[in-house]
Amino acid sequence: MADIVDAFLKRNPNFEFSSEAERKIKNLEPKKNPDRRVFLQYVGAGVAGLIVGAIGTFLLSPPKVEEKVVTRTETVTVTPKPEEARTVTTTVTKIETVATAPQPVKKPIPTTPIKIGHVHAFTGPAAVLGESTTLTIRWLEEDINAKGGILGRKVTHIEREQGSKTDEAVKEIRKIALEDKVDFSISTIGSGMAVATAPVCDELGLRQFYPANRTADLLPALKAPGSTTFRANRWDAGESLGLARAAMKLWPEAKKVAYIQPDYSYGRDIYAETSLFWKKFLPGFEIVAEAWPPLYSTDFTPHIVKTIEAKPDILYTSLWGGDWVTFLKQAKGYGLFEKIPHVIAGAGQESFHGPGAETPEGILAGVRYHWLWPPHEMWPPQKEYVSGYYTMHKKYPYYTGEGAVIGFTAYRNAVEHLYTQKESWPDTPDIVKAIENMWIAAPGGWVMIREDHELVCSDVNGITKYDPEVAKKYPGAGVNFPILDPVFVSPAEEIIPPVGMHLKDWIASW
Amino acid sequence: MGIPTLFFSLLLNGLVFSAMLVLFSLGLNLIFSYLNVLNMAHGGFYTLGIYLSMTLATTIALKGLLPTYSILLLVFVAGGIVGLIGFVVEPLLLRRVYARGHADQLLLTYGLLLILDDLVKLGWGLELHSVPEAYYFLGNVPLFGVSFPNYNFFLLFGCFILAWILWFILYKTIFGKTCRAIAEHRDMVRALGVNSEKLFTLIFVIGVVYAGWGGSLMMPLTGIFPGIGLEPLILSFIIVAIGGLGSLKGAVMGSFIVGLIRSIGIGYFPEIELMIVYLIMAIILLIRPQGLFGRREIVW
Repeated sequence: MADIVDAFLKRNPNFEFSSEAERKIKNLEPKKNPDRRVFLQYVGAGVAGLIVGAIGTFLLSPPKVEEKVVTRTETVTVTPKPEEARTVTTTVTKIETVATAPQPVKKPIPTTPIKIGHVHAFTGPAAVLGESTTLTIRWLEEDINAKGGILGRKVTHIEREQGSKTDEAVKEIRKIALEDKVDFSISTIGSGMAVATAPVCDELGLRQFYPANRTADLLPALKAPGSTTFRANRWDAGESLGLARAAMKLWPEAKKVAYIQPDYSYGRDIYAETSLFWKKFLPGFEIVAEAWPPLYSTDFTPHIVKTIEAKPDILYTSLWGGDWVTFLKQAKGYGLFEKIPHVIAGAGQESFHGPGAETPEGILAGVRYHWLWPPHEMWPPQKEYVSGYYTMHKKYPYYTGEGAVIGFTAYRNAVEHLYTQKESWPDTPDIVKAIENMWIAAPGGWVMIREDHELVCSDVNGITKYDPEVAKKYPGAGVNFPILDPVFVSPAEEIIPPVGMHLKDWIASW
Repeated sequence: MGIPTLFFSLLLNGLVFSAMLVLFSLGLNLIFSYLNVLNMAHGGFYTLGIYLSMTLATTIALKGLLPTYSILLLVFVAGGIVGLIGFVVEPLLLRRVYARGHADQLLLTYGLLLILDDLVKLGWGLELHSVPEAYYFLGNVPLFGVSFPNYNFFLLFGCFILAWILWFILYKTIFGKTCRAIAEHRDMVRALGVNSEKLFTLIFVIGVVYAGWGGSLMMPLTGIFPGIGLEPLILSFIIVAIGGLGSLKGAVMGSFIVGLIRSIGIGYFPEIELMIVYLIMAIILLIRPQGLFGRREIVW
């Protein structure tokens, strides 16, 4: 066929084949003898194969047999004649062969720093959410490095802005995994972003701790096969069940409830869980008004007016961050706190620090973690964390900061334990396995990261109060912003559903 | 309180929110009408207005240098300070893109928005701020079963005065006539010897001042955080679509439609209150694609 093509081209020198035809014609050409380059390629492949084989042989080689000189003392009874039996002690030297396995080589600890990735909203109303995480990571880095690092390795961290959209957060997670090559990540991002980034973390093998996300929507991602993500935060079960219970104890006469909830998964979840609980256990429970302001609204006055008009006994709101600050200001302006007898704010303590002394007393607040509970004299991890944080930042931490401590401690404990066992720096599957069912002495008390990567923990809420006496020991506290007094603690078994069970199904099953 | 009182209290709240939107979208439409520039950075100037107003209130009025009532004056001063930035931005940046398409202008002004946001972060940090005293010091009045803060009346009155001032400038002064002429036929006005560059700068500054006033007047009502200008910027595009791009009358009507529908929707249709505003926008665009008061085409 190639001859025919050649003959044709000789008769038609100006003819041009299409690219497809050219490709096909090239395939018709007889194979040329291999040139020097090809020969060297084959030689190179052969050498590489020999090297691989040698390495494989070495690794798979049977145990070596060594000769060892062994000196033993034996006692022998010598009886040349029965009446002359005597005991003689002789020293016998024998040469024995002893099979010894090849001694494992202890791999040195890498000298490069351990990098913590931190993706967070540094701007906007969500910025306040992760501020405590950021400040905690900075404190942890300084504190652990002063103590020699983790197994001698210094710790450093990289901060990245999450952006305002989910795809931006996903991009940043990819960057810290692939470009920054962090060892693990503690990222304070929105609930929807957490749900979207979890599979990405699994795909990239990035160990990820979420210190801020309370949504139950994260559960399927956490427990997915091969998951490398963990919740390092007291989840919304504590808020909804803890606060609902506390409200029933504090205000048994209160039946009519109004909601002002942020219109996204977190707000919807809390609404569903608390209303389900109250429907079951609060006789006469009635929802008299509900309002769903979008996140990051700047005007809550219509919601406030409508809620006041409904005359509820309790207002439940999960507005947080900048939304809570704006809502608080407008609600006070409209006299909401005078007109509605009881208010529950599941907002988290970060929201009380922002408006400072504007926060009214007497609000039942779901703070998830309170920097004064357990008391410092009772629980050293709390004291160490709060005092170190305050010394560095002149502020007090809240729950997203405690989440950073949980994530950091989990990673540190895992690698320290594994290196001791295996004498080499552990890889991701081992670290993940080690973290599962790990107990951690967190600042807020003992917590455990369960096999489905959920955090098993108690939950804290309490009544806002101003107390100048507290400020004598903790500057500004109880004066510039409220503390909680009294404090209500919900034990884990009362608020955390069993493995594999959704909170709503668990409540429904009672 | 029966249904009518709820309706009237929601109406009043809607008017307050609409007033802020009026100032914001007046400035935006002014810049588009006369400079043919869609200014994405308007949200950044609004944010600056809030922060400057907060700083003036907390460092002057609330520190006792001036009486607390001076806050009512300081919020206007803050807006004026924001306008000074316009004297730098227009000749330095915007003048270079007048002859280019809207896509280039959008990119430039969006970049400017990001820069302004970052300047705010650098200057005031990332923390949440709040100036509660500025909202409460005028007291409340009981209306329709709620305690209506008196500051809201001040805001309504202030917005009305400022909108009237802009109308007066544009329709009752030589300056305003010249601005309208240059919007109709730029080259002819230049040929008559008018310094168009100076005029454009002044127009831009006025637009920016109104964005700053929108923010500074809202400062007492709201929490303060970086990026707060995003919500009015998004709503302003709905207002422009409803009222008509390039129409100041449309800016006012569109602001009231959006503000009032939003407020009443929250009260009676909370599940779909956001959707209602977009639904109204879609209906208007179907009937009048240029908006209620927009021109079919703008002649330059």
